[in-house]
Parts: sequence; structure tokens; C-alpha cells
Amino acid sequence: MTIEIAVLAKQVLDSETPSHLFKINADSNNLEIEDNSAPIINGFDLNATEAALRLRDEGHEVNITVIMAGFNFVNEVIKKTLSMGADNLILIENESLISCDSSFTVEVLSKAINKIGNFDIILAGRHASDFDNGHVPIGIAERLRLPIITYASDIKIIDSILRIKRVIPSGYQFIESKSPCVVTVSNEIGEPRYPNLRGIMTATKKQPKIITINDLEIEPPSEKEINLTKVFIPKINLDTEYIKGDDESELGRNLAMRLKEEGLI
Amino acid sequence: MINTLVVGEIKDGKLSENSFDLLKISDKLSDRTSLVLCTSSQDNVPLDDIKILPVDFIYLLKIPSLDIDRGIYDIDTYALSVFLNSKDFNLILFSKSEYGSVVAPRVAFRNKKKYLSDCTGISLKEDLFLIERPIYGGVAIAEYQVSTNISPVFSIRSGLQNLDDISNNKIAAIEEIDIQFNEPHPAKMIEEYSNDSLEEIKLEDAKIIVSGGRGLGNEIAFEELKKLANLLGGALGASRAACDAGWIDHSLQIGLTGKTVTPDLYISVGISGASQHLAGCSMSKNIVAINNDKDANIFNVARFGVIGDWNQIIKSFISSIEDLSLK
Repeated sequence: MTIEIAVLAKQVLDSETPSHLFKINADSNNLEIEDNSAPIINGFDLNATEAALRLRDEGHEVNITVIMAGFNFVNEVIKKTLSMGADNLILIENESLISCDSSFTVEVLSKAINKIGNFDIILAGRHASDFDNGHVPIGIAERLRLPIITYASDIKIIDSILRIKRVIPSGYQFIESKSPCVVTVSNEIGEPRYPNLRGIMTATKKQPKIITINDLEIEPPSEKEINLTKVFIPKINLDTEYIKGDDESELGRNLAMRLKEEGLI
Repeated sequence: MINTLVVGEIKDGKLSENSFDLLKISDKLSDRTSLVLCTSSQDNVPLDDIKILPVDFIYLLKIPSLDIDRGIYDIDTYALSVFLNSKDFNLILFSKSEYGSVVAPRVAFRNKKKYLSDCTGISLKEDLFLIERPIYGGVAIAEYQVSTNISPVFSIRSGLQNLDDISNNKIAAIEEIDIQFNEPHPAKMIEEYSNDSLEEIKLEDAKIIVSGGRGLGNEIAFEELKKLANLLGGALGASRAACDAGWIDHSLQIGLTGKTVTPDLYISVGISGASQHLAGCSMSKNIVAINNDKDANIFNVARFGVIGDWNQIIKSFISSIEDLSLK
């Protein structure tokens, strides 16, 4: 029997961009990147896509549907998961979906998941690297009253039970869950695969399916309960003291002396 | 009147350091502070130590089901939600520990409350909470206003400095509440493994940390850093790039997705200083950056910078420390 997998993915600015290229857009009260470089799919969501594809590699028959909720989608960017090997892509585009209050995103994605059908597993990245919240998958699980297993570094399916290796600060746990359930995936699962040529060709031909918030019978929130008032780039006024020396050996020695002088070692 | 609930955690038979910080934050902000603890029958709660802290009420949720499964906090979420249904608070605080990162949003969404995570600043202005939290892995700071009337849930980043010590002359009232968990429970923890033996000194407790990144080039390099960490009586850490490359165990990862550390001395070696790494180490008191790229971002947060080949520098650094300590 086919395992139906939803992967939730978000389009974000690349937070690994050198920090001096970030600037504040006063109109949107958000960050933008100076050279207008293309956004990316949130890295942890690619880890989640990778987790889904590995279940296929292990011989399970899976149908992978990537669902993206956001605004101003860039066509070449959003197709990345298809070119990695996902089967379907669904886009839900609305300006309110980039709000700092994720309750609306949770409502939209929960209703979309219910509308699309019977998912056995809902995968998502552990958090999006823009607002670093990690609310949305947890909110969806709570709303749909599904089990939520966070920080997965490995997912196996044995006799239709999911066995999930979960990263915790002191080590890891094994969790067993019935489906359906929501699982958030962490970078520990391993690098997302690079799309191959065939994947890219297939993705070019595939058209994403569009769902509107009207289809889901949802109104954007009229009133904000969480107000983002300001975004700023903090100035670091640290006068770095560079250790001097003619060669590496002297640098190492001078560093040791300097730290000793300061009582730090 | 601000009536705050702190959701506490017990670690090694003590109220966790982070929970204690939350009590200090709440004390400054609120007129009344309550502390709630989810406990199994095996938990030994040091009530005598806790009741003299700056807290007015302690609610001890006694949950026998926690004896069986604590893994993914289904039972903690349930118990806290039941508890919140019977009480009114203006503010619910969690620490941004692994526990708080999972339980805080679950409790918030289940009880239809607004939630912000990983807050680094919280203050009160009339009937608004003013919140500061880093975004984009720390590239920028976002400021929010949230009404005190909607009783929001916030998780607070651990290790915030400049929390005043408070003198306290009140003794908390204690109430025990029994909670039976009898919901469906389709996901359970089966086994747990601890890597703690890998760290002789816990990263979170270390006064000195030597941390390596992608610039080290291979896993053997970490042996040299381990030697340095041992010599200094410190702990070994790593950036996400080094962990993802498989050079070192993920449990030593420092950063947004790893551990947050606040040592007196943080020696970073071959770490470029991606914001998500800085999110885990930038609250260290003194950062030393060793890197051959003079433009590396890590130098922006470093008190001491050394530009050059890490391998030679560390070798000479180690032998100089050995010489210095012989004197």
C-alpha cells in the first residue's frame, strides 16, 4: 500500500548569506539581501524531503506531496523538492502567510492537509531559518490532534509503525508512533541529495497545484495579536585585539601569554 | 496586575538553572509569580530549596503516568493544559530548553494562546509585553508588542546575563494537584541513549570551551583540540558544519540547533562564524577566534583574533601553555 507523505516546505532568505549583505526593508519591516539574491527552500525542509526520499530508497512505495505556504514564490526555487524526487507540489500563496504570527499559517496548512487527503506522515523541517520559531509543525499537530515527534535524525517504517530516532541534548531516543503523525526533521538526518539531470527535467515538466485560501474557506486575520514593531541589525562594537607575531609559532605563543596576562587561562 | 506562571524543570534533583532565571525575570516583571512542576512519583522535588526562591505559589502536578513515558512530553502537555484550564495567568514562561522548545508551543496551540520562542528580552510597558528575539539565526533582532490581556506563552533563551540577584523574604505556598492521563497515546518512547560519557565536562557547565569548525579539515584535527581542552580543564565543542561532515558527534554541536553555551573563554578554531553558530556561543564572556580568513565573520564577535594556520598556532599555543604552567 502506498504511504502518503506530506512535506511542508517554506521559501526563505538564505540566512547563511554574509551578514553585511543583509539590510532592513523599512516598508515590509523585514530583512532583505542587498544583491537581491534568490531565496532558498529552508534547509531543514530539504532535510525533511530527504527523509521522505530515503523511505522510498528503502523500498517503501511512497507518494510525496510537498506543500508550501508563503508569498512571492520564485518558480526556480520552489521546484527544488520536485527535482530532488518529490511527486507533487502544492502552493498556497497569500500575503498574510509571511506574518510573524504563525497561527494563520497553522490554520491554512492544517485545512490544506485535511482537504488534500489521507496523509500517513507529515514531515517538516525543525524550524524555518528566517524567524527560527519552529511553531508551525507543532501547531498543526496540536490542531489536528496528531502525535508530534520533533528533531528526527532517522525514520524507519516497520510493519506500518514508524520508528524514529530523535535527537536530544544528552544523546538520542527511539520513538515508536502509529500513523498518521507529524515529524520534524533536523540536520542530523544528513545532507539533502543534489537533484540529478533526470530529476531536473521531470521537475521542469511538472506544474504545481495552486490552492487558495478561499478554497480552504479561510479569511486572513483582521486583527493582529502579536505586533512586530521593529527589526534591526545589531551593531557589534567589539574592538577585536589581533594577536601579533611573525609566524604561526609566535602567534600561538603570544596568544597564550596574552590570555595568561588576562587571567583567562 | 501581572500574574505570571513559570513552567519549571527539575534536573538532577534540583530546579534547573534556567528555571531559576525565569523566576528572576518574572519577579522583576510581575506582581505574582507561580511555579508549576510536572512530576512523576519517582521525582524527588527539593521543595525546601524551591519555596524560599522568589515565588509566591508552587503547584506540584503529580502525574503517575510520567513514571512510564516522558519521552515526547504528551503527558506533560496534557497535564499543563488541564492545569491552565483551572487558573488564569497573564503570562506563561518556559525556558528555551529542549523541553520548553517542544512543550511551550504544544501548550500554546492546544490552549489557543499566542506564542513566541527564544526571547532574549522581555519587559512591560503599560499593558504590553515588549519582546526582543533574534531572527535569521541572529543576523537581526525583532521587537514585538503583545497585549498582557491575551496571556501569551514565551520561551526565554537560557544564559541571559545581567539578571540581578534578588533578595527574597517570602516563602511560597505549595499546592499538590493529582492529574490522571487517560488520553490516546499513539507515540511512545521506547529507548533512550545518553552520549554524556563523551563529554568529561558538560558543555553547558564548562568555563572554557575549545570549539572546531569546517576549517579544521578532518576528524583527526579534533584530537589536537581535545588535547587543548583537557589541558585547560575545559570542554570540546564543534560547529554544525564539522558535525554534519561526520568529524565529531552531533551532541557536541554548538549553535541555534545545538547547545547554547556561556563559558568565560570560548576558543574557536577554524570556525567561520555563521550566525546560526554565533547564536549558540555569542554570550560567552571572551571569544578567541583563530582562522586563516581575515574576513571571517567570527572576528566580529571576538575579543582576541589570531589570523593564520590553525594547526601551527594551536601546536605552539599548547606548548606555550605547558611551559607557562611549569613556571
